[in-house]
Amino acid sequence: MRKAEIEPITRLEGHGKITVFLDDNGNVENAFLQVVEFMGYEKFLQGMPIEEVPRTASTICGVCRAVHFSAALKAADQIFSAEPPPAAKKIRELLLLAHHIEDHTEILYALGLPDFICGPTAPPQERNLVGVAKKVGKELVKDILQKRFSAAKIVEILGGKPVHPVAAVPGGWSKKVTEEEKAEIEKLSDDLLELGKMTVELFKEVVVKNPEYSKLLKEESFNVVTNYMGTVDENNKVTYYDGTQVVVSPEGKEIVRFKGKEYLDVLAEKTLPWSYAKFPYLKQKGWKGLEDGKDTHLCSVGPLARFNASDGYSTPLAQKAYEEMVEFFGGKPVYNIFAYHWARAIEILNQAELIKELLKSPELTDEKVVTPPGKVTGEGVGIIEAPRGTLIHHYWTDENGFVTDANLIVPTTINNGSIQVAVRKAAKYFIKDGKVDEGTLNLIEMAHRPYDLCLACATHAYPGHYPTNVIVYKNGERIKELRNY
Amino acid sequence: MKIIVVGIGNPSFGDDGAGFEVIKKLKGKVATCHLLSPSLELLEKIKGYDLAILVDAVDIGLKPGEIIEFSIEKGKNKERFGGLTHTLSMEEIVTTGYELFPNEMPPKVIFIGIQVESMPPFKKGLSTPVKKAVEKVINEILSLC
Repeated sequence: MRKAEIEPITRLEGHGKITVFLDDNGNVENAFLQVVEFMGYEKFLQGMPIEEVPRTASTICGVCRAVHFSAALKAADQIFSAEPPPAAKKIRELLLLAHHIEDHTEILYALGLPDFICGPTAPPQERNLVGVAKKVGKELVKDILQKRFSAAKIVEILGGKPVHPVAAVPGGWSKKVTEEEKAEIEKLSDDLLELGKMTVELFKEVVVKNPEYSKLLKEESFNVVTNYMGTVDENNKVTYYDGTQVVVSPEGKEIVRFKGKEYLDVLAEKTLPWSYAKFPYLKQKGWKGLEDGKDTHLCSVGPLARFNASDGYSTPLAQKAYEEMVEFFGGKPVYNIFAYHWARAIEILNQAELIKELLKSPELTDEKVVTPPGKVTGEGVGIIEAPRGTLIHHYWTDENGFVTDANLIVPTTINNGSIQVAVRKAAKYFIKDGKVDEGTLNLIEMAHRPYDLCLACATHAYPGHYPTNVIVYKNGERIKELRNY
Repeated sequence: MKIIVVGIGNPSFGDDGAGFEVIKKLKGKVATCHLLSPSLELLEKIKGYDLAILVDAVDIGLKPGEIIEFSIEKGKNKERFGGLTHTLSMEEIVTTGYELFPNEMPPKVIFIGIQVESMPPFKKGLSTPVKKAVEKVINEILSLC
């Protein structure tokens, strides 16, 4: 047996390694993505006062700045029996939506779309944002970046501090939105709506209308058939900050609906010896290994999972884009992993429209933004939709609100099983007769990029990027080494 | 000369907070800004300045507390540019800035890296060698102002 290793993978938060096992004919027998770093956040949160947790948890990741913050905050509300006033809920939702937009934009334009715009086998030095600017025009990319900064600016205005929000208090928010701030956010939100429209159109132009890429979108080898989880509102439309979690089967039929602590009845976690990351699966179906298909226990989360688990979006432009995507695939659920990027583009539009709706609410500028703490309940569960999928924070505290235990289930972990299937399928599709070159390796990496893995944390010390190194073995002997740096 | 110092790193992760510690002590003396990790926000922060100094923790096999310094303005970073991450690399961000905003980017961008000893999660405070390096870096930056 020959072994091809891609280590470490590029464009990911944290460290990981892809190992591809080839048979004697040079075809892929199996492939795995291994997480080789374990930070153990839950342990480090123990002993911390719960009111400090949202701010601390927000620094888990330099990218996901508003998501751990929001989930931990919702859990802290429950621990202090303090239901936030309507204004505070709206501020939190606004912040989360703006964060989604900045994150989705960066993922699409700097990390995901270069594979399509610059070409999947282009060298990494060209397959980046600068390469995108060369292909679609500098002015367009400048405009996109400027509009993305408008989302970041909204996070900054509401969060009270650049980069990581600090305005969190259990039971609400520490500062009200002034009329001036609201006016500024309104102006910035025009940019976001434009950004959403542009992104959906650009995706259609560059990917959907390109015969080669359109074929990839319909290629069965890139179908990862799983159950799908997302959060929906009372009309079963996608929502992000608050709602009900719903899981649909690979056929698109609703399996279960849950809220808060009930997640424990829905998800179980399996530990496998070769990976530090756990493998969540649907409890009611039981562990069946890393296989997709109609009977699978694996569950996916993220933009495409939200698309599949819901009846679409509550806003008109996003709903129209949703219907176009459903029509392209001839129905749903959509299984193709590259469709994650399409759903991500539609979400930018949906989130911008939702921001516009929130800004219409007179409650947004209410004076009352916090409910005083009540009895310490000792337990709280915060569930939100992060850009990468459903995020669960569960805390237990003592009678004074000091954390005694914590359980964090992050989207990349829920997607772990699906990602293994995606990587294996791509490896089987692209590696034939032992032929492995730099282009092939990027094609395999393209299979996990739609999930936008977030493997570790904000610790990022320079050089900050992890070039791909591939070693091919034959009968235990190293016969080839490839680098993309 | 308009100078901005950008401290990059997570103070909740031991020596990764070196950049943050530098700008904390420079506040009021020079324009400063903190980023937890390299992101496109960097461009927005440094546009319009004559000189941007980026201070970050590095883990490149030097002695803990050892300092490296190099310019990364356009044309000087090509050999390091390549390979992308979930969080973009610093060179990529700066190169993107020069490509897209050539007239607004600082003519000079200096990178100062401090070799870490350790970066334990959720542990605040720097190791002794990194603390000493932080003081050296602060003095060096003040001599430029």
